[in-house]
Amino acid sequence: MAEYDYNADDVDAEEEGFEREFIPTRDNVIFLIDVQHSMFQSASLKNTEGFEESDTWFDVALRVAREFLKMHIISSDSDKIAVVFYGTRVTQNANNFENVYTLQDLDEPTAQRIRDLDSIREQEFEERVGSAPEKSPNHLKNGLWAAQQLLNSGSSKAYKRVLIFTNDPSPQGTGKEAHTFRELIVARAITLHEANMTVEVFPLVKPEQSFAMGFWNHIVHAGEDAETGTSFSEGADTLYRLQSLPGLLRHRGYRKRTAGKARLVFPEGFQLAVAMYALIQPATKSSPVYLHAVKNEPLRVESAIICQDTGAILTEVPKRMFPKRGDAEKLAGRIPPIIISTQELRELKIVKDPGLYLLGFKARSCLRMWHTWRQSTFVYPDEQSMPGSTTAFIALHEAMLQSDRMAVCTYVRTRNSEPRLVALVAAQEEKDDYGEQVSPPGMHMLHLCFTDDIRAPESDPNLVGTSFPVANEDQVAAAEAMIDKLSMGESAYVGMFQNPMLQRHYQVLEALALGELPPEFEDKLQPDIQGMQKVGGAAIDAFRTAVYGDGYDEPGFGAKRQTAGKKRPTPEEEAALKEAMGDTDYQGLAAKGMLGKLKVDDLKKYLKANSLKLTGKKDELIQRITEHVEKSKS
Amino acid sequence: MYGDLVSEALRTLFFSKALNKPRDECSLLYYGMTDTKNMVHEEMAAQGDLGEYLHITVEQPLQPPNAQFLTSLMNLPRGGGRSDFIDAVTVAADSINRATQARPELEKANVSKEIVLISNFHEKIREEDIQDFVQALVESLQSKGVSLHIISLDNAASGRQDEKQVNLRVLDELKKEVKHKQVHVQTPAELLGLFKCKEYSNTAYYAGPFTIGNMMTIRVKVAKKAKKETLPSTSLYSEKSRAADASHDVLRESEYKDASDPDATVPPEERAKAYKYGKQYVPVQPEDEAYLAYRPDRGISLMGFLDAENVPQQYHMKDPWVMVAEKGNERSGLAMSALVRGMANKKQVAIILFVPRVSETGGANAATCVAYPLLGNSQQPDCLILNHLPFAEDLRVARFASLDEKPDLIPSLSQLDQMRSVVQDLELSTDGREALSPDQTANPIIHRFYSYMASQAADKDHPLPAPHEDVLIHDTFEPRAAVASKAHAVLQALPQHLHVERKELVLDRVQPKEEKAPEEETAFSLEGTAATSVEAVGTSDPVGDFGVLLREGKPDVAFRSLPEAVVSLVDNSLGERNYDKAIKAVLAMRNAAEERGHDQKFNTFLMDIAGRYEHDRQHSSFWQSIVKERILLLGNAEEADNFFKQHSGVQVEEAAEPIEIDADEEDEFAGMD
Repeated sequence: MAEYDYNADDVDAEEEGFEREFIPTRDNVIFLIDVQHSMFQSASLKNTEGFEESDTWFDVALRVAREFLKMHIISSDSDKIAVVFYGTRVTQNANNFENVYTLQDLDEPTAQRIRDLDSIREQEFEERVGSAPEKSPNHLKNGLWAAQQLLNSGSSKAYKRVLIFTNDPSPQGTGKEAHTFRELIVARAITLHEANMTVEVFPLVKPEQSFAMGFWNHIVHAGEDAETGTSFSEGADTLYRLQSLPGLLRHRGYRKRTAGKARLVFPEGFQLAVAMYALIQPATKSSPVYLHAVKNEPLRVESAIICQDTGAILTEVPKRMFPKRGDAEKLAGRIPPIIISTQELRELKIVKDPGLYLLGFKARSCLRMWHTWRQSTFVYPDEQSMPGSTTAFIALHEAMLQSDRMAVCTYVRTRNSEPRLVALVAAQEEKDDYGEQVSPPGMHMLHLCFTDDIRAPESDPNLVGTSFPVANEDQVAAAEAMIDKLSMGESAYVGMFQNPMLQRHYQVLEALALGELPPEFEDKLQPDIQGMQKVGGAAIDAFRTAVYGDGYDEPGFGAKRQTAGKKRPTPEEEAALKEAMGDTDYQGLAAKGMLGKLKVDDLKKYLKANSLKLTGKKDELIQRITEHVEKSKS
Repeated sequence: MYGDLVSEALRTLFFSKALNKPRDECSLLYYGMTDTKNMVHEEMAAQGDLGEYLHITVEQPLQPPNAQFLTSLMNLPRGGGRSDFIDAVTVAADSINRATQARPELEKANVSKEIVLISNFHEKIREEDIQDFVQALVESLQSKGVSLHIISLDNAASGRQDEKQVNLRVLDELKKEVKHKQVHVQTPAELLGLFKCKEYSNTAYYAGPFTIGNMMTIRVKVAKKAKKETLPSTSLYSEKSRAADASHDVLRESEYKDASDPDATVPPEERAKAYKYGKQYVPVQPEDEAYLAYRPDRGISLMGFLDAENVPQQYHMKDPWVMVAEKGNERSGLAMSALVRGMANKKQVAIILFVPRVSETGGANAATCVAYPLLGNSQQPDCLILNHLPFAEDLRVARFASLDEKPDLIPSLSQLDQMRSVVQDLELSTDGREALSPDQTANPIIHRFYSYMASQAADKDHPLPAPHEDVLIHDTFEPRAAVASKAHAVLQALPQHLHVERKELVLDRVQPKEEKAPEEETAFSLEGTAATSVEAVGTSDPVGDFGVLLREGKPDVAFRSLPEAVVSLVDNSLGERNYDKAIKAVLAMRNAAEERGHDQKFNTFLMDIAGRYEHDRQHSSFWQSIVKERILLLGNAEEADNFFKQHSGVQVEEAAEPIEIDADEEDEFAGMD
């Protein structure tokens, strides 16, 4: 899955072998779970979404691990994850660190791994692994050692994280030697930090309980200078309150990673460095691949560019034609096709060096809700690249907030991107009641439309007609009353719904991977009809009566005449279509996988004659025909 | 001042029409020409009236625009005659009349007819009997359903504003009863952006019920409000064949190959479709494919309402939609209007579930959307603007330090003041006109593309203008002179108030190791990449970094990382290029160690260097340089002397000589550049 799929801008560039600005990176994550006896106490989490009241702390940690695996399969399936216990009776790990048990080695998650995490219960654990009889500071020390060794075996380009789950605030013990042990463990943590690995701690306590982070803060911030540390002040980023499992994953599921850096250049040359973060990144389904039916191995796809005239395989094609062949034929006789070089094409669109160039400021109210066309990017100062940037950024941030203005900039993302206009909107930090950051301080970069992108369907008589009824005061009042009743309230937030398309896709894949039947799907996205009825039934009713009169409703789909149905061709039409297919041997070509030689129009003739869908890219058309041919054979 | 730009804008328009609206027909008329060439004049001349409709030429008759059109527009002719716009519009209307008489199918209402009138309106109109002329023209336009698109090129500096006022008053008369739109163009960029690069008709992507609970439905339509226009695509063009009838086509062919047997092509029947699930590939049989799909009912349904401020625009995922009530449906129109107004009054947005399509195989395309109220006017109804919201899987919550986290990074009051002035002075809206509004600003790159292609169609040798000569690029992507000049003083002063160290910015976050070849000054910026070297002595300015670290009270880091930097400098040095810098670093460390009583740290380091380089084939001269500089151990002078003697020996004499650079090494340098 692409790490930062901006748009198709770079597709051309990639084809032509220009270097990419961003090298994809992965996460390598170690779940380091404390399994001393105290972890098997009941957590008795009540009303905590995602957990059950009977869960022990051990169960809680495994649930988190399991959901974490699932989430990474969906959003970034090249991440590698390991699950390691420390404080075990049985020792089992590559380096034989005592009292450490590697349950799952560092690898990409699989359905089986998820299932295994699901099935470990206390009893099985006790038989296979067991808790060490006595608590010892060496357990954690060895656990950190093992985690480091595992991470060393992973990809060097990955982000490396160790997530510790424990309910023990003082693993160093309380005896005389506690101080020495603390130093030993911290020393280990320092070597982890020096190897560019981060350590995060998940204290397992009930939401209303407090947890002394004193010791753990030293682990988390080991090797960081108090003044230079680029992360949060102690405590703030280490303590997560176990309010819900989805919440925990939302906040801790991914490591913060930059999607790029840029200079923010003012007119007259002043500049500061900023880093960009993709805090919104559309997750998509994995696209299908083809396996060797017998060997079950992925097939390699080799493609070649072939000159139609000479049959030669081309390594590069420096010339382009505009418009494309099909359009050019339509225009024949009116405008000749234009042949230009790829270099010219590049010069057409690459007109500025990468960067963020400030053009000026506007009132924030100038930004209308239809002015953006893609998800935003978060912008934060980059002190490391250009010291002094933070101070300048804060001044700008503050000045923009005070005057309620946004900045308009030209943004060129990479050396191969065309410039676009963006708006920078300053956002203040927001925290919840627990002091947990809800939205970060910085600027949101909104990608602006051009007038060429914007349409005006709302004023097109063909779509909206010419007479526009306006509601009277009573009707508006009825609407307001209904709006009040149907408020989603304080607990609603953006991102509260899971994507049912992805969830279903991966749920079924998981089952198929394990050779099971696909489970029933519970659709959690549908509106809460019953709840709405209960709370707002009367108000909806009143609103309907106010605008429609008594006892009337507009028809829904059910009442609608079927117009969208597929029109079957008459026998004569069918014959004509069959004839249009001519003597093209679709079956033969399909068998040889050579349908690609046909023109799209020819492909469509087959689809039309067989009442198949005509939409999609050429590849999809070929796919559809191939499937149809195979089906009709069998 | 607008001449060339008008021809460029029209070239783009006609080319885009030919390409995207191939059935549209255009005609081109000039007025104010030296010559006269139009049918109205000819008819009247035939009747003996030679003095009417002079200096108006029909340059291109009504037809789908072609290459000739574009060629004739390469240079706008300089007219030597005088004629007024009422005459010109009359001739244009006459052209349309003739066309509809010849081809009755053009009379249909769905064939839109428009006269685009472009002028600076500086040439004063003949005022005698003007009322009659205008009246006749209005009737002619109305009868054929022709609308007027008036483009007034304004240039207040050029004078002749009195004439223009008279003309505009006559225009107002004309506009009263004719469908029209009028634009005042004030900058070249506005003119070039006047015509969108591609026109779209507005079709409903969804038409059906909008359900509220299970008790009420509103019949609505949803259409795209914006969609990113991309550069038109081009096809690969092979020049391999020189044959006259060569197609020049290029075919992309893909073959599926067995991974373990590169020569074996795998036929379709031996391929199995699969999806990746983490590490695994899960084969999916065609009959199981349907299970993978999420298939709810098609429709739009309300999930609830939220305070508008809870859904800021940064959460928008895609391009926006607009939801309107079904055309001509009075009840739905009322319901939408009431809902929209109620939401606007209460500052609420609606959260809706949008399932516009459900296919049998692919499943649904479902989204949660936010809907904002947009109040209508006489031209448009009350409606909702929709945009997709992220699902839980799309959000990557990350924490960032509070901006006031580190007191030493908080700007002072005077710094803040300076920035406030910048924000105030770099104001983009002047006199109520908002510059760079997305609704008005053309995409310079796409227009550049069309404009260049249009000129190529007319003249193959037409050069591609450099970006800085491209008016639209310059006016859109560069700071406006008028804006920047107002803020000139504060912008100039900004660097004095806010000190940002200028460094080479590393765009690539992760750098492949093999590229680390720090022989060039600029290449040193690599150090910022790995987080380990953060806040450590780097190789670009080791002495500087070292000093900074000491000042910041981090001697440990400083003393630990400087040796590393020195070793890295020497090891990576091409010839002796980096030696000087390395030696200065060693000296800096010695001074600091002496000052702070860290003798041992320095001594260990120096001994290490001796061990490393004294007998090193490549870099022994680095150690010799140390010897030459007489950089001694700290502490006991006698010990230092001994060590020195032991490790310098006879080489002291040799090293004192200037070191010769042999020819090989010079070659090596040459190769690098």
